[in-house]
Order: sequence, then C-alpha cells, then structure tokens
Amino acid sequence: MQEAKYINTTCSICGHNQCGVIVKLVDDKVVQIMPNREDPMSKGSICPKSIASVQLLYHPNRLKYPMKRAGPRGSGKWKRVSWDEALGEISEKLLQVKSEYGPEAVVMARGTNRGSWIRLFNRFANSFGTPNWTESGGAQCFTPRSIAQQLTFGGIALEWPDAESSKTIMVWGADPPASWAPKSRKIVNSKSGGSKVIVVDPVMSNMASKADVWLPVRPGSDVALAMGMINVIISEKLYDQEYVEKYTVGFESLKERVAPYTPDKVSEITWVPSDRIIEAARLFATNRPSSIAISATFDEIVDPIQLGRAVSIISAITGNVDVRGGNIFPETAGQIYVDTNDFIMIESLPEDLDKKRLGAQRYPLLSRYLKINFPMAHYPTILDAIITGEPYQIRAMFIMGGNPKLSIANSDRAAEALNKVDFLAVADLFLSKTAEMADIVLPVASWLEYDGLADSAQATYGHLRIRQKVATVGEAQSDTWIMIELAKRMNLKGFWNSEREYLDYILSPTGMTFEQLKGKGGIIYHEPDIGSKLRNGFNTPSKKIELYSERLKGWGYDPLPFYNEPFESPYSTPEVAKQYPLVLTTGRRVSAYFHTAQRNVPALRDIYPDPIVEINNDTAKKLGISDGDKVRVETRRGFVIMKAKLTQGIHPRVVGVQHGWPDIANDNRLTDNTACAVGIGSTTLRGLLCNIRREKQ
Amino acid sequence: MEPFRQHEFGWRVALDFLLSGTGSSMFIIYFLSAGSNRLVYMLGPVFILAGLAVLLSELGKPSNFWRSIYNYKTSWMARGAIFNILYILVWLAMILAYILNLYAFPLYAIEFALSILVLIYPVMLLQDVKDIKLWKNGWSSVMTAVYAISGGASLDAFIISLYQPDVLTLAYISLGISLLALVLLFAYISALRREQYKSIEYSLRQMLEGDRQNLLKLSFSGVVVQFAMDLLFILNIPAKPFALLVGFAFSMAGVYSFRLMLLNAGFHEPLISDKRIKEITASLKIGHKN
Amino acid sequence: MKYAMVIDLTKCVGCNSCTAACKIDNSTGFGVKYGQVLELESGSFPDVTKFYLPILCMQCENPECLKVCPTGATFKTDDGIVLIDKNKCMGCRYCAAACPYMARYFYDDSGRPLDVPRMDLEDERHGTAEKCDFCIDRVREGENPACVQACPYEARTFGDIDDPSSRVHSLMSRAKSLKEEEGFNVSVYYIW
Repeated sequence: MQEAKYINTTCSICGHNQCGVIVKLVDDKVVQIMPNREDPMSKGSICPKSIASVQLLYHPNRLKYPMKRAGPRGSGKWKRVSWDEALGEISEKLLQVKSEYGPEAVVMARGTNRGSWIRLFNRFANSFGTPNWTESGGAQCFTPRSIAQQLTFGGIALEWPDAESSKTIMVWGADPPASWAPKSRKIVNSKSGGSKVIVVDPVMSNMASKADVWLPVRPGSDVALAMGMINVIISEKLYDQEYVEKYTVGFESLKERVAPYTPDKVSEITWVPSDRIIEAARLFATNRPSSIAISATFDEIVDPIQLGRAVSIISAITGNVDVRGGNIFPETAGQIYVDTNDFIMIESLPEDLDKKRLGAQRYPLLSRYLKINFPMAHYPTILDAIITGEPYQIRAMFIMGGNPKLSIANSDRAAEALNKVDFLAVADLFLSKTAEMADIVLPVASWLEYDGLADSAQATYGHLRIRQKVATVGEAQSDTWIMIELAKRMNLKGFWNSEREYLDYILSPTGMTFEQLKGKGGIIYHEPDIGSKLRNGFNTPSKKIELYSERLKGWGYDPLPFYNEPFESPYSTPEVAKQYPLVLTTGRRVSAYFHTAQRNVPALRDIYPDPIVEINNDTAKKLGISDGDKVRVETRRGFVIMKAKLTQGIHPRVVGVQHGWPDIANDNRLTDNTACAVGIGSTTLRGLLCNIRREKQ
Repeated sequence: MEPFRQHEFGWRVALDFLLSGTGSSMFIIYFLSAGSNRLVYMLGPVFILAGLAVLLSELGKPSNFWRSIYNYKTSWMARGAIFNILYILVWLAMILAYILNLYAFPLYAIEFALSILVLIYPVMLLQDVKDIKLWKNGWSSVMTAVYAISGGASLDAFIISLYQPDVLTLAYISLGISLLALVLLFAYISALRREQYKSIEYSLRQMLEGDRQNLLKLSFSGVVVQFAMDLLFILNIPAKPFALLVGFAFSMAGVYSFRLMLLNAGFHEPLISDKRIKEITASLKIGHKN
Repeated sequence: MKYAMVIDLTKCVGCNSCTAACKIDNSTGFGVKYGQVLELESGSFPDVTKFYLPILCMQCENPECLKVCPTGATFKTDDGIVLIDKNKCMGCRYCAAACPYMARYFYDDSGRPLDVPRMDLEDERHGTAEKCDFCIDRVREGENPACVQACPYEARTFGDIDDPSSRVHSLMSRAKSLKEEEGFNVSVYYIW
C-alpha cells in the first residue's frame, strides 16, 4: 500500500461549489472526503452528499462510456459507441434540425450545474443560435428572486447574509442545514455567539430547530406575512428613517399599500399567530444589524416576484442593505473578470429569435432580454410545444444534468413530451429516469474527475477556488469538455480548443493561468466592499433602492408588492378545498440528497431510506394514520405514496412532502404546470390543496 | 421519546426456550412424581438437544459456539451453555447406564438438578437485560417458569397416559399447574399495569392492543384447553389419551406464544426521559418560548 | 487515559454529515449505523420545540454488553473503549439486546446490496456483533474519529478526559449523559 495522498479541492455535489474539502487517496483511489477547516470560505462545512461522494464516484451503475439506443425508446437496450461517434451524431442531428426547421426547433436544457459555470451552457445555446435553452430550475429557482432583487436594489443581496456579524438573522423559505452548508455554519455560529434567529417555514425544519422565533406560515401565503411585517415595522416606526430617506424611493406609496395588512388580518391569512408576527418584525427591525437568508420558496409560490420584492423591502426599510451584518453585495469571483452579458453572447441572438423564445409572450420577465436577466425559455411551455406542435414543433432536445421526468411540475406531462421528441440526447452520471428515454447518453464526470474553477453566484461570498481532478471513471468527461467538443464539431463561434484553454480564458484578466493559480494555493478572494452602493448609488435607474418600481410599472405590472392568494387554496377555491382540505407544500429537502440525485448511494439512502410526508399528529390521529404508515397524498392532478412522519412541528391543516423521489413517490405528480406565475412563469410548488389517507400497508 | 423495541431475539430464540423449558420441566415433574419409566427420563434431553440445534441455527458464527462457555462469571448465556452441555453429557451417561443396566439413581438426581438449572437459565438470561423492563420484571420470570412447567407436566401426563391410563397423578399435576398459570396470568397483567416504566407501558399496549394480542390470547387459551382436557381425562369423559394429546398441543402453543410475546413485546427504556427533553429544550431556548 | 466525546446540542442541526462519514469510514451495511442522529421534539403546535440528539456507542465503564457476552468477545481497552473481537464473537445478539443505547448491531452481509466502494471489504465481521469503536485505528494514529472530523459545526469534541489540558476535560463541568442514573459511567457526554 502506498502512502496516503491528500488533495485540497472544492466540492460541487450540489452544483454550488460551496465547500473546500480534502480528498484522501490511497493507491490513487479516493477513499475519503473530509471537510477542509482551513478553507477561507467554507471553514469546514460539508454535507453527507459530499462525504459519500466516494460511493457515487465508483458506483457500479455509473455511465462509463457513451451509449446509443439499440431498441425502441425506453426499452433499456443500448450499444456502446465511441465519443467520436456519439458527439458526431449529436452535432450532425442538431445541425440538421437547425437547417431544416430553424435553430428554435432545438431545445437545450440544463439541470444540476455540475461545477462548470452555468453561463457556459448559456453561451453554448446562444452561439448555436437557439433561444430555447432552459433550466429545470429556470423559473423555479433563483431567476424570480434574482429579478425581484435586481428590480429592488440592483443586485442579489438577499443571497448574501453577512450572518456572522448579524444580531438577527431571518431565514425565509430555506433550510440551510439541508442545502447551504457554509451559510448554515455562519448562522449557527452567529447563534452560538448570541444572535437571534427567525425562521419562516411551514414545517419545523432543521434550521427552525435553532429558531428563537418560528413563523409557521401557511404554504404560499408568504407575501402576506412579509406585508404584515412591513406594516408592523412602519406603523410602529421601527424603520430606519434616515436610511429610508437617503437610499430608497417610494416609501409613502409603500406605507399606503401595506396599511391594510394589520397583524390580525395577516394572521388570518397566514395562520401565524399575530403576536408572533409582531415579535418577529420588532426583533428584526430593532436588534440590528439584521440579515436575511432566502432560497427556493422565493421562486416556487404563486407570485414569487412579489415575495422577492416584499422581503427585499423588509431588509431595505430597516437599513440592513449593504451594511456590515446585513445583506451585502460581494463580487462573485471567477466570472467577475468577464462581463456575463458578453460571455453568454446574448447579442449574437437576433431580435426575432428573442421574441420566438417559448414563453416570451406570456412570461417576458423570464424569457425576454430585459438586461436584468439571462432570458431562458419556459419549461412547461416547451413541453406543451413538443406535445401540441404549437406555436412550432420542437424536433430535438439536448439535456445536460437534468432529470425533467421527475423534476418538472406535473411530471407525467414531462414524460409524455420526452417520449414524443424526435431526438433526445442526455448527458448524466447515471441512467436517470430521463436518460432512459434518450437516443444517445453521454457519461458525465462527477466533481472529482475534472479540473475547474469553482464559485457560485449564490454561495461563495467572493471566493474563487480551483477544483482538481483526482480520479477517472471509465470514459466519463466533464460537462465543459462535452460542450467544447460539441462546439468544435458544430463550428460554433466563441469556443476553445480545450477545457484548460477555457479556464485560462476565464482567468486571463488576472494575468494567471489555471496552473499558476493552482501553484499559488488555488484561491482568489475579493473582500466585499461593504457600503459601496450606499456611497456610489445602487444599480437601479434611480440609483436608490426602489420600493416603488417604475420599471415594473412600465412593463405593465404593479409597481408595489401585493398579496395574491395561491391559485388553489381554502380561500381562493373553497369548493376544491371540500374534497382536498389540507394545504400542501412540496419540495421538502433533506441534507443527503440534491434534488433527484443520490438515492442510489447506499450510505445516504441508509440515512433517509424512505420518501417522507410530514403531517401533524392530531390530524394523523383523526385520519387513523400512525407514524411510519404508508399514506397516499392526492391532489387534483395525481397522487403519491409516501411514508408518514408525525410531528407537532407542522400546522394541523398543512402537509409537507419531500421531493426528488422517483415513480409513485414523485411529488411532481401532485403539482400543476398550467397556472404559472404572472410574468415569470413559475409553477406553484408551495401552497396546493391535497387530501391524505392511509394506504393498505 | 418513545421506547424502542428490541429486534434481536425472535421466534427462533422463543423456540429454543420452549424446547429447553419443556425438556427440563418434564424431567423435573416426572422426577418429583417419583416416576419410574426410564424412557420418559430419556426423552427430556432430546428436547434440550433440539433446542440447542435451534440455537445454533440462530447464531451468526455457530463455529464459535464452543467459546460460549468462557464468560460464565457474568453471562447467563454462558452459564446456560454450560448447563446444557453438562445436561447432554449426563444424559449420555444415563444411556450408557441403561444399556449396561447399572444402578443409575445418582445420575438421575444430578440430571434433576441440572434440569432445574436449564429451566431457570432462560429466565435469568432475560432477567439480566436491565434495560428491557418487561424482561427484568420478576413476574415475567415467574410466568416464564410456570408456563414452562405447565408444558412439561402436560407432556408427562400425556406420555404416562399411554402406558398407565389408570394413573391420574400426572394429570392432576398438569391440571393444577395449568390452573396456576391461568390465575397467575391475570395477576401478571395487573401487576404490569401498576409498573411506572414507560417501556412496560408500551409492552402492555403491544400485548393487549397491538400486534401481539393474538399471542396473549393464544397463551391464555393454551392453559385453558390444557386444564379442560386434563379435567376430561380425570373425569374419564370421552376418548382417553387423545384428550391429553390435545391438551398438550394447546399447552405447547400457549407456552410458545407466551415466550414469543415476551420477546416481541420487549421494549427498551427511552434513551432520554421526557423530563430531560423538557430540560434541554428549555435551556436551548429553541422553538418558541410561550 | 480515557477517551471521551462531548457533543454540543446547541450546535447540532441534524445534517447527518457524521452519520455519512461514519458509514463510509466503517463501511457499514444497510441498516447499520454505529452513529446516528435522533430528532426529538416537545410541546404542541405552534409552541413546539425540537432538537437533534446524536447517539453512538457510549463506551460505558460498566458495559452491559460486556457483562452478558458469553464468549468474552467483548472487551475493554485501557483507554476506555469497548471493543469486539470478531474472531471470538459467535453472533448470539445478546449484547445487542442488552445494550441500553441502541448502539449494537448484528452484522449480516445480505444488507450489502451493491458492490460499492467502502461497502466491499472482505468481511470478518459477517455474523458478528458490531458497533462504534470511537474509530480506534484513527485515534491511535492521532486523528479524530470520523464523525468528529466530519461535523461542519464542530459540535463534537473528542479527547482524553484525564488530560487537564484537553478540551473535553474543560467541557466536563457542564456535561451530562444519557441514562446517567443507571450508573453505566459512559464516555459520551452532552452539553446544552
């Protein structure tokens, strides 16, 4: 046996390049992955997914070479082919569709960002010429909350709580211990140092277990809660008067808008006790500095833009934006050297194609180029187009790291569409439920198998680190390599000859190559310049924080946040509620799984073996359900069968289901993909109606 | 926090206990009734041997069984293994004496003593699990022993009825012990009801309401039928040894059910008491402090 | 010399990184968790409180498992760790039934469905009892146990309780243990 080798690298099992880790190798085999406490960014954060990556890396079911379908679609018959043949056939097919039907007949879809810069895929699609690129996340993750924040303060400060210096931290619609380990660490450390934590979550989550004030909001009514908190802050004069005058516009109209949202009224809407709403608002506004941490709920309710706006406003009027201990604007390294708009080559896409993008008509905030977004096609609209041929027929689809068959709302429809598209190529680590339907599958490298640059627009606080290749599995190649090779074969403009050339290009403004950066410790850090926006003005037309948004008004939307009841709820559809009396929140996360992935990793599956539905003990008792029973949760769209977990940490009329499980436990059988959010197109995943009953065991 | 159920000992351990309990107690009863049929004496150890075979099949590494006699100082399982082995050895000696037609009473007396040890070791083995309060409970031990003896007595009564249909002593003994078991069963349940342990509360719920209630019913009917059949036999109502055979079959079912119930309803005390949980949550100041 | 672990419940958020690290490091099969994290709550909605309780072998000074073990396979080291001699254990499970802390498992390799790394060791453990050993091999090489090393929140502290300069020693004044009234004298403590 050789000496053990230890290599510092950056994990990307969740696609966010968050945690510095140390990989232990013996005989050039990875044997252990451990947190790197010296890492200046993550400081020892890690999660079960990362630790168990050694089982993922060498998993016997990994795709090891490209394969071509050798029987009818979905038959499970495959033929091994060379990379040359696979890439040749994909590029030939895509170019053929482009020339025969136009570039818009090709859909390029992304899911998990496996550590490459997600904008590279953007660039790939734009260079190819199709406006129809999208993400499984897309309107469901980051885009809506990013746009809401761009509109409000011209940046994405809510992604960046300066939690270690905060006295109060409000975590809203997020469970950092399950999905944002370094942020979670900051919050827990801050809490240990005496700061207060407010958690808004319908379920007593991991984070809520550390809350001083827990606001168990009715799923989907978050905007009302935010309006209520603003109401308390304004009517009790707890806002930062000087800050509001100096740095914001539209305070008076805001005051008028929130006036009806008294704590009592909000309590009725949200089912949160009114004294608790008041307590949270007071704590947040007075025990300063205060910061806010948010996540995907801000993209998954009926009108996510309003939530992003309203919660941004809470932070703004209490004077917590761009201040130490509040929400800040760090530069996101790695890509900071390159202008992102230039990088994605958005200008290379003709105006008429921008208009043709699927979703452009109904969801302009998502799908038109507004200079505050990276426009993408609307996934449910794409699926409709495939099925109906309207407004035009989609002929080919290239999916990278996504599993839409499970992860898209109303997943049966996604399956139908995937089955119908003429040509489907999928790149993934495993033969996922989506890859099973493909004509060609490409084996993708995990985060341990390629060199790369690691940062995240949402998680790394101005750090850029490197990732190092420590293992090789079969012929698997990184996403970046695949895109570069395909680009070469299709003669796409703006691509490189090799991965290394690409990395050097990104780093070129620093005067360093990848190798040189590696030699210098592999880390670039930009200390956030806190207060620069206060000094130089925010990146908005008024140079101030826009509580009242002229831009929204100009596009025909309400310039002030307002509360919209979910499209189905006990109040908006009381007749539906008779049959489906419980309010459902889908997408509950656990730390061991990233969306649909990792169920096949034994060490992780042993920790969370079953798909779980959380339900209040008292409700369960009335329905004859005991802890651990198999139960059926049903909505108007479909049903799932999961295992009941009884808890007091959930409202008696609320049910929470986990997401990402396949087949009968897939929570997207419950969700709807027709009633999408105004302007942005998000499907509602939090705040649906359901009923629940005990299944035969 | 809820008590957690033990999953280690299941139907095979119950079967082993049943066989060794029946074998040893039939020897004890017959010896005490001053029985003279040597074949009956020979039969007891056969049960014990069968019990050992079941136990071996339960072991993860049966090849290490010979090591099980090591820790006799503290482990009742080790002691049990020693008793069982000695029992078998004396039995072999008894067979030898029988073949050679030697005076064997001392061997019988030794085997009687060993029978008592074989009878009590499973009781002590369970009794020694401090954390499972149902097993630790003295009443459980008494019940286990009484049930074992009722099975042995029933077997004795049946076998003797084949040889000497007119001798009723053993049927009377079987009748008496089954009645005793019946009475004690009620006392046992009500004694458990008075226990304060949370785990016993769960055990009782399992036995009375949960998926173990059939076992309780069966252990109840076992002794009832045994009693009834003994009575029929004594009153000389219809078919003779047949009644005792039925009585014996039910008795076995009852004894086995009781053992299985005792094992399956074994709950550990919660790792952490509700009082401590309250103490922790109060001091962590987590959740909402109303 | 006595090894001990102190777990800070105020820092544990139930992420189970420790459980994963333990499973990988010890190559345990399905259903076998030398260490795991329990979720406990009290109160009723909405005034409910919840916390996480990581548990593992408590390395008792007076171990029930050792007492009941018929073969003498279970033994204690000088540094206070309870170990199992795989060559002596006959797999009777008596120790697992007697353990008051849910810490002992019976190992059966039918629980290993896949030929996955860190689950494919040539296994002398088959058919025997197994449990947490404070990662004794790592500890003797000067490393921390896998769960301690993995914890992102540094909620776990490991060290020699008899060494007055160690961190565990300094935490002992506040430390409490589970079922302490039973007198097992454990080596795993909690602070809150």
